[in-house]
This record gives sequence, structure tokens and C-alpha cells, in this order.
Amino acid sequence: MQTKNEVTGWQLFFLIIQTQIGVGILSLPRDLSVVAGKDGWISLAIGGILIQLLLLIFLWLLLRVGEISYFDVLQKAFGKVIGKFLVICYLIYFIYILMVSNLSFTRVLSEWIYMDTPKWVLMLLFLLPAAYCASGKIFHVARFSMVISFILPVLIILLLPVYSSPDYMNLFPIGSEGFKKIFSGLKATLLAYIGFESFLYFSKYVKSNREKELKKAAFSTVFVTLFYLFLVISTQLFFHVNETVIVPYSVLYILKALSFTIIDRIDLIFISLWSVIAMTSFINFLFIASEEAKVLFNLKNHQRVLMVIMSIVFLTSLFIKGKQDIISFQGLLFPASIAFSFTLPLVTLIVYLLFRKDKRT
Amino acid sequence: MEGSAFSKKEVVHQTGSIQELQEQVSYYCGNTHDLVTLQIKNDSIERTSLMIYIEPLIDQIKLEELLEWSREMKWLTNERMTSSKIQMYDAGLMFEQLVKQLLEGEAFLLSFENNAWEVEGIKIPKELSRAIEEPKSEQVLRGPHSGFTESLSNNIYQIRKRLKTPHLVVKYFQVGRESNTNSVLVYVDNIANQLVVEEFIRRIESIDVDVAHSIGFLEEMLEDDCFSPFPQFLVTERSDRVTGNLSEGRIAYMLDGSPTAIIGPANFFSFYQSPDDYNGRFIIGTFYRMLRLSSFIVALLLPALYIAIISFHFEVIPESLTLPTKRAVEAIPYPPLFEALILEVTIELIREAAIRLPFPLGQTIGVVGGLVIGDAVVNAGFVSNVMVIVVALTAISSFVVPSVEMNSTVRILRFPFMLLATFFGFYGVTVGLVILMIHLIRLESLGLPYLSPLAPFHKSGFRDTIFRMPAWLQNTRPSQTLTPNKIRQGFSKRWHYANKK
Repeated sequence: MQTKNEVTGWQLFFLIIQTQIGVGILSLPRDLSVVAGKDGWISLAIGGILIQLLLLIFLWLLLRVGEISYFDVLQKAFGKVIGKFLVICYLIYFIYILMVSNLSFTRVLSEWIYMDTPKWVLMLLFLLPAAYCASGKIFHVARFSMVISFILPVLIILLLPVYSSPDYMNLFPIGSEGFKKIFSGLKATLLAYIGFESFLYFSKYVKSNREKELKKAAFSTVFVTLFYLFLVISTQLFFHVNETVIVPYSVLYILKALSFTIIDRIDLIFISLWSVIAMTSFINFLFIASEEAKVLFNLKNHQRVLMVIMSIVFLTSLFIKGKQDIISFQGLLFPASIAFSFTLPLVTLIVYLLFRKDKRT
Repeated sequence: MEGSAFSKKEVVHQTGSIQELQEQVSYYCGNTHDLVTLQIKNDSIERTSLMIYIEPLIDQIKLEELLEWSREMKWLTNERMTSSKIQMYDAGLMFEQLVKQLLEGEAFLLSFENNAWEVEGIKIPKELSRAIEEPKSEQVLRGPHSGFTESLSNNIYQIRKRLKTPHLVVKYFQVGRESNTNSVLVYVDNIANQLVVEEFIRRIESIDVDVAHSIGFLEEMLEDDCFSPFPQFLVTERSDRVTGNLSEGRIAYMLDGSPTAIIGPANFFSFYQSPDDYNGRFIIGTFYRMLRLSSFIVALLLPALYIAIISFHFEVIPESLTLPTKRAVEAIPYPPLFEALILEVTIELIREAAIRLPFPLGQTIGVVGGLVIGDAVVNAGFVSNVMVIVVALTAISSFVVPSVEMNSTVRILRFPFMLLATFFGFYGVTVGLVILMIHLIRLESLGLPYLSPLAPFHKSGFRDTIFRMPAWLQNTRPSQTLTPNKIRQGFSKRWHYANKK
């Protein structure tokens, strides 16, 4: 019995969600309030709406492009040479994203619990399970994303005690920071939403009932936006803006402060669950990267290339040690994602649709 | 076998003396001493017949009755007898076939007539089987108490008795080069997916062993991933469990001489279903179902979590519990892993000893092992009393699983988790869980997803996995089996709504 190599609409929905929600959720409240103050959640909502619109445009374009993978479109739109070059650029971009999430993951873990454990051990513990999962078929990865999504409601439940004594004044007056700050908050927001473009890469696996299923999955960002909003608003109800700016991982601090009769320090449980969420984001990018490399180098399966990518990520991450190095290394993420996740896909799809030779009748 | 002295392709020869035939048959049977060749002479008609059979395989009383009858029919009235048990063979019967039938428990009557040997076979195998009893490893409180026996026909009888449908298909396969053991594949052909059945048959046909010892032995050759710790076939000795699974589109495979059936495609949750769930009320059934599933998590993780808390995250323990725990742990000379291993291994030893010993002695071992060692080990200061609680709870939870295979899986799996917890704390346990989850997602039984209906997710599947919904709500068959016949039953509670109007 061979299962077909395809995913359903709901699986794609959760694949996108899990790619989007990654390491960043711990630092998201702080990143937002540094730039946008108490109105960070407004930037978040606006960002969510923008990304959702962009996804709908992607959907509209994808439905016209038909059932070929995004990287093929890239080569058809710009010709073989430039297309191949762009695919390699994408590969580098993915490896870069993998490194960033690997670095920030190990950083959180080593700062919060495992101060004495060597970083390469933590990295291996992160990379090896991820490699095991990503070495499977697409439906394995999709099923994993879907099962892991049961963790998200648990995270929400863990945060519910905040609402026993919320300080709503922290949010008011709404919009007091001014448009400029809210607008500049968009930048931090967009970083949190990176991963939405996985819609482009994964959509080629949706085969049966394509139009309906893709439409279902395109609304994944609504879910992510609501989840982020809950997270950010909950932290703002607990901490004043001035506190949020100081506290690096505000969610963890909230949970550390709360204590229950049965379990103290829920933050340790939260961080364990969060590590799985962070891992799925990594897994999905790793899968995309190795599948892309497989097609690029005409290989039979993606396992071997996956090991190469893993070793690159592992070895290069070893050299970036200092806190400042990590932060400056992450600085590239914004321009790179603007180029590869926003601009290039749009341009590519439009160019392809305008200039393709085999027009549909 | 080709090329050896026994080239059995030879046809029972057309002419010749009785002596010669006798020698030939004996030769093809390897001159075994339990082969009986009887010459039967009749004075009224000038004819000699030869009766051959393998003595231990034949029901002697029936044979004599048949012979008597046959004599009357044949020699007095010269009529051919007709009976379901008697088969006429045409002249092309080969020795290979003859010997095979002899080993199946058939007796042959050969008589020389019209210049050729006329062969009649009489099937009267000796059926010795113990009575139908309740299987010891799968006892239930309510519901049928009948289980399989070592006799294949008895087992098929039990299934047929419960499922009287013309769609029930029984397919025979002989496995074992030397043992020629009968095995049987049972399924309901309008419910089971034909592709899955073909896959099962393909795997059975590729089995090439000398002796098919038992079904567990063959299971390893049939399963998808033999390196997985998880059983990929549901093993059961209960006929009601088999028929229940057959009606869901699964396929059962049984071997002569083994009182067990293996059922595929299995899924993780089917190991946690017990016939008891269906015989009681549904709320109670759901409660026990959930209890069993959570026992899986407890048995797997409790010692690991305890070790992680003691050695890494002492802060997790609430304030009021800190002092008692600290006091218990402080005086122990060993690291928590070693402490846990001592107790875990002790419990495994007690379990193993209790199985091997006869029943009354086994109980004694339980008392000595559990109470005496448990108490003494704490008093001696080797192990903390919290650890005794943890390990005992774990052991009890692991015995809750209704399936013996899954039970041992859980007990084996907790050791790697304990190691991970010792080295990396909570995060190590999480990593272990992630790997376990990925493994379960990738695992397949007969090519179908093992973790269905959780991954791939099917909402309707939860009616009979984590929950046990009322029987009249379970109207669809599980999606894992890819059954072409999804609707199981109609709406049985119609009377309720009719009353309301």
C-alpha cells in the first residue's frame, strides 16, 4: 500500500501555521513594545491583515499558475540561468533562516534553563529530532504539524491565569503612541509572520480538490494573528509597557511569577512545549530547503541533501557565539525576508502569468 | 527437494503387484514406521485392496465405521459409495499429492480394477483440541468468555458462528517448507479493502521458513517495521475481538497450532480497547478508555519526569512539598537514575519470576518482592520512598494495557526516557516525546497509518478511540482501514424521536 504523496487543505493550513509560529513568540511582546509602545498589538493586527491580504493575492495567482511548484515557476519566469541562480539564492536564504532559528532557540534555552550545558549539545538535541522528522515524506511532516498544533490551545490555557487580575489600563489610551510608532512596529510584526510564504512551497502537494483546499489553507494567517494578539495582549495586561521593554521573554516571566498548588514554575513546562513549536517551524523550513535542493541537483531523495544542510547549519552555528554576534546576524533577516518572502514571489508569479508561452485557452 | 532421492512427481503406477505398491508408498513416506499399509482381502470377489494411512493422524473409530460401510457397499452391491468425506481420485494422482494428503489425515483405499489402481481418499483426521476456555491474558468481566484453541477449524468455527455472512472469506495458505502448516486469512470481503487484503496475501506468500513455529514468529516477517518497539499487529485470543475487528474492515490471520490471531491493519488506539468497554455503559467505557490512555503516558514518563525534577528542576515542586521530598532524597547515596534503575529492574525481575512459577508460588514472589524488598530497600537507605511510590505507580500503569505486546513496549520505552531525563531534564524528555511522536506518525501497519485517527486527523474516528461514544452513534467504520463500505449501521434510536412527536 502506497499512500499518495499529497496533503489535504487542513494539513496545509497547519503546516503554514506551524511554519509561522516559531522561536519568535517568546520575544515578540518585547520586540513590539520596544518600537510601538503600548500600541504594539495594533501594529500586530494591521500586520496580520496585510499578510492575510498578501496570502489571498498569492492564492489568486497560484490558482492561475496551476499545479507546478514555485521553484519551477521561478525558472520558467526568468529563464533557466537566472532562475537557477534565484533558486540557489532561496536555498541560501532558507539555510540562513534555519541558522537564525537554531541560534535563537539554543540561546533561549541556555539562558533560561541550561546555563551550564554546552551549546552544541543543545543544538544537537534540537537538530537531530528535526532532521528525523524532515527526512520523511511530506505527509509525515504535515501530520506532525497537525498533531503538534494541539499544543497551541494548551499554551493559551497556561496563560489564562493572567486574566484573574488583568490591568486593562495598560492598553489605554488606545492609539496614543501615534501612527508613526504603530507603523514602525510593523517591521517587528512582519518578522513574526515569516513562514506565511510556505504556502507557495507547500501548495504543490495539494492535488485533489485543489481550489477548495487551497482556499481553506489561505486563511491560516487569521488563526496566527489571533494567537499572536492573545499572546501580546495577555502580556500587556500583566506587565506595564516600561516593564515589557526590559523583560526579554515576557511570557516566561509571567508564568514564573504565577504559582499553583500542584506545580510551581509553569514556565518550565511552557518552554518545553514551546520548544516543540519552535522545532516544527525549523522542520518545515528544513523540509522545503532539502526538497528544493533535491530538485535542483536532480537527486533521488532528499535525505542525503538534508544531512548536508544540517551539517552546514550545525557547523556554522558553532562559530557564532557571542550575544552581540547573534543579534547582528539576525539583523539581516528583515531585508532578506522582504526580498525573498514578499517581493520576489509577487514579481515572479506576475511575470510568469504575464509572459508565459503556453497560455490557457 | 528436487534432485533428492524422493522425486515425488511420479504418478501412482498403473500396473504392478500389491507388494510393489506397498513398498513404493512406504518409500515415499521415508519408510516411517507409523505408516500403516493394510491388505484387505475379500473372498467373494477375487480382489485385494490396500489401505494406507498414517496411524496417529487418523481417527481409528471413524475409520473402522467407514470401512465397514464401504465393504458393504462395494463388495456386496458393487456400488460406488458417495460421501462428503470420500473423494475419488483420477488416474493421474501423483505420489507427491498422495503423501501430502496422508499427512493431512487422509486414509487411502487403493484397489486394482480394470488394469489400474483406483484410489479413494477418506478424510478422517483426528481432532484433538482442548475445550474452549477464556484466554488467561485477556480476561473480561462481562461479555463472552470464549477464546481460541490450538485447532484452526475450531477457531474458524467460532468466527463463523458469530459472523454468519456470505461475505466472510476464509483463505488457506500453507507455510513452512517442512512443517506444511495450515494458516488462514479471514476477512469480510465487502468491508475490507481489497488492496489491503492483496498486500497481506503478498506478504504471506513471500514467507519462506522451514517450520512455522507460531504466529508470533511469522508476525516479524509480516510487519512493516521490525525495528520499531511498537507491535504492528493486534494479537488476540478472543473470538469476539476478532469478529469486532473484522466488521471494521480489518483482516485476521491465524496459524494452525496457535490459539492466537493477528489482526491488521492495527492502530495505536486499538491496543487500548477492551471488549469490556463495549459491554458496559458508555460513560464508564469512556472513563476507562481515558484511564488506560493516560496510563500509557504515566507508565512512559513518570519515572523520567521524577528524575528530571529531582536532578534539574527542583523548583517545579510546590513549596509545601519541597521539604518532604528533599528530606527523602537527600540521604540517598546514588544519583536518581541509578536509584530508579535498581527498582525498575527489581520489578521486572519479580514480574518475570511470577510468570515462570506456578500460580500459588507466583503470588508469594509478588508479596516477597513487592512488600519485603520495597520496605527493606527504603529502610536500608538505598532508595528513597518517593522513588518507590513512583516506580510502583509506573508498574501498575503499565499493566493496565489490555494488550500484552503494548504493555512490554511501554516498559521498554521508559528506559531511554529515564536516560534523557538524567542528562537533559525536561527538554530531554520533550525531545524523546517528539522523536516518539515522529516515529508513531511514520509507522505503518500493512501500509496504513498507525496513529490514525490522530494523524492523519479524522474527527469521526475519535468516537471509538479516546472516547467510547454510545453504540448507536458509532455509525461509521474507522477510516484507517480504507473500507469501501463506510456506513456501519443505521440510526437505531429512531423510536426515541418517534415517541417525542
